Amino acid sequence: MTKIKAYSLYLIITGEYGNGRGTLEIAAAAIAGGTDIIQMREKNRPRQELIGSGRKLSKLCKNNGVIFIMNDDPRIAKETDADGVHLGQEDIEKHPVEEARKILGRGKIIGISTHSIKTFRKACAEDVDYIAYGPVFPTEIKENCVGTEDVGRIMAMTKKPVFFIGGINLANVDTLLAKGAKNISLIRAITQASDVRFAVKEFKKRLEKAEAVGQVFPRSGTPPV
Amino acid sequence: MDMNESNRRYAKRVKYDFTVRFRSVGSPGSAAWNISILRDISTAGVLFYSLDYYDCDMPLELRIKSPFISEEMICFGNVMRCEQLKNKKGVFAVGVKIAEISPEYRSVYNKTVAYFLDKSNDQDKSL
Repeated sequence: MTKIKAYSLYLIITGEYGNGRGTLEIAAAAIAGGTDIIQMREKNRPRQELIGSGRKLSKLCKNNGVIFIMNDDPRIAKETDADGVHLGQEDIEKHPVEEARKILGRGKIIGISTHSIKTFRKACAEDVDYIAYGPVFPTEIKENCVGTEDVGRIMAMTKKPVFFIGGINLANVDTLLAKGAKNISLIRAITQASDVRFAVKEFKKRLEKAEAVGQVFPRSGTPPV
Repeated sequence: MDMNESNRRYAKRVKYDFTVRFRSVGSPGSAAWNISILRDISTAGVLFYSLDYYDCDMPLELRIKSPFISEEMICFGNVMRCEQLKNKKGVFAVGVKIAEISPEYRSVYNKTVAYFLDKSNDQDKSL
């Protein structure tokens, strides 16, 4: 099983948010910047196209020691030799976690999106390897957000890696990390950056700093800010 | 893999994060393309990471992206070194010396290296 390290940066690449740059171009720069995980998230694209792009991205990630996750469909994840699949709340109706596990097997990663304490609690009991929680901050498409108040509570509810997602940028990431978040998931803060490699490096620096602080203040949670 | 100093490139290298497609040539099953990212580039050769191990001197066909042309630059080279990375288990750093490239692509290749060298020198000066 590929292991997800704490203080990981998880990049979700969607072609439409690439500012005209291709998925591979963004992925290459992000990998060079030090991203730990890449998810390919493409909606409304033909299956064969998804498999073709997914296979290239999967190879690119594997050759560089980066975890590759396919969004939505465990069968496409298997066909592209992805390290795992990410399931949204709507995807679970089509592909329940047990079915995804059967398709992918025990050695692969299954992640799930949650948007409230209630769905998060439910996800904790599922056979998943990580849980995404958000949106923590407002985004261009989602105004309602869960905020950062429950970060400590969320972290205390599970030992599984939790990825906080939604509206995270360089101006608010430190607040989130200071509340005890250990992993972040990013989309536009990276894919729309003029220099993708530089943006990834900046976020990685913040994560490394939070990790160093976390080692000085273990378990007690929030360090003095 | 022999990792003596004679296998290392001495032309000035520059960090580069464009994609490279590569495949071994002249051996059975060599048709499958692989893809990675160039970690650095010099006028003499390139370095990328790969899950696959390549023997020294193995000939490779490379297709390198450059910001200066829309198509990939086609070139052939030989593996000069292949070393396991310390921080990424199972991943190898593959150094390839460029052996064959058309004059048209050589010109773009050199222009690409020169551009990123200048950029890197400018960044060094601003530090």
